[in-house]
Amino acid sequence: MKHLDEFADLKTLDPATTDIDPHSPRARAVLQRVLTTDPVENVRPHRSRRRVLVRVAVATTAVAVAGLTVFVPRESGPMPSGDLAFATWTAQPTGLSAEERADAVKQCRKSLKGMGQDDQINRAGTAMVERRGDWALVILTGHDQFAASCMTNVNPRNRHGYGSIDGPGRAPVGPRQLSPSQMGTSGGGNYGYLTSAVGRAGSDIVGVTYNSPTRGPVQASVRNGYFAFWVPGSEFDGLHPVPVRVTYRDGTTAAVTLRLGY
Amino acid sequence: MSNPVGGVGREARFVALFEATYADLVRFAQRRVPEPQAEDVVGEALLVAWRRLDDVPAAPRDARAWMFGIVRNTILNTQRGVRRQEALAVRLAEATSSCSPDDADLVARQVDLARAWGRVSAVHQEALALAVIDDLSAREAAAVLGISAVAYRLRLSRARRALRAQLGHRATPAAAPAGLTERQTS
Repeated sequence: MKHLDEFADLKTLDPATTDIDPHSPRARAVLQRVLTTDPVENVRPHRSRRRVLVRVAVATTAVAVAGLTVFVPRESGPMPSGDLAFATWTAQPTGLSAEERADAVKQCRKSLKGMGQDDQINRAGTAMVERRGDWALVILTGHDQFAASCMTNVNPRNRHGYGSIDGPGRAPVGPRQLSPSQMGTSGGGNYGYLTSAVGRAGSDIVGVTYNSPTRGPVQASVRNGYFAFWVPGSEFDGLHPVPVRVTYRDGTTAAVTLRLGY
Repeated sequence: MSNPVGGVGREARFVALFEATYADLVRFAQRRVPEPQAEDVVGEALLVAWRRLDDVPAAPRDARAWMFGIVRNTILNTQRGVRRQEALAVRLAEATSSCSPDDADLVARQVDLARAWGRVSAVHQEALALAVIDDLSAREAAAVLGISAVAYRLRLSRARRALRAQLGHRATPAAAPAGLTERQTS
């Protein structure tokens, strides 16, 4: 397209990497997982331990802005950060009133509609609702280890949220095991980034604490066989292990590493 | 690696598609989501392709464009809980540091371009990126967006004018005939 030659410099700003190998272990793991999936199955396949669909939420918009602020920090407006959107965040989760809880769950189900698993979503029960400031984190669970989670803004003047679906088909966890189904940074856009870890917790686990480099100790919610915590900003991805401290039912504690598997 | 439903031929077709497109798909995703998430998005899109293998165009370039469309829809679907979007913004890399006068000129142009890029809409970013960065023909880009080639050319024309205007050039008059509007083809 010759008429686009005037924008040829765009090619020099391509953020994509060049050394992507379809024969790398990660790529082959993706291929293997797809090939072992029933192609005529009408529901999501059994997954490997790694959650496939990491929440991208509004990250695209956010990253576009973030990349540009290197050049134009003022003229393009402030870079989205968790500091504003998540200003009410707390390191310890708090409860919700029955009405707030019901509303958060309702919003969560609504945000998950149309992702191909509406029946599962409608049948799923509520495993956890925790609140940190204006945001509630909801975990819904169903048959065969089906799980879905949402971030929902409970401020009635600013109601919105997004969600993600995981499973079904995960293996059960042992009594002293943590099995994260999602870890990493998501969000962006008008909300800013947040970093979260969500997954299943064994029956002997009663507490999980993440030591945030910027926020200090962050207490996870542990309830009904699940754990969850999040912090504003971008602190870890899903590719590298994250240390946490676990408290067991007998009062002992241990350093544990959260790690997504494949 | 066998599948009880899919036959050997089906599996071989998919492996060939995977090996031909995987790297390009990851790059396509990296331009639109944070890099750590790109391969996850592609994995999700490949599952869709596996189920719809009979729909994949036979020609390699068309198959690649079709797969780009699946990746794009996968990303858009994950965003539907936040805000219904019709287009994906495309991010740019940072400008490289300069050592020579030539490089300094390039960096200056990159900075101007990046500034202008941030001021055009996601719809226009997407139209331009498909042609310039993703290296697709108008027909292929139209297939990615699910619109007609005519509609894509119209969108691209508007995008060029929008970016040019942000770069400080004088926008040229509309090249498309009056009354021509975009129409979804799928």
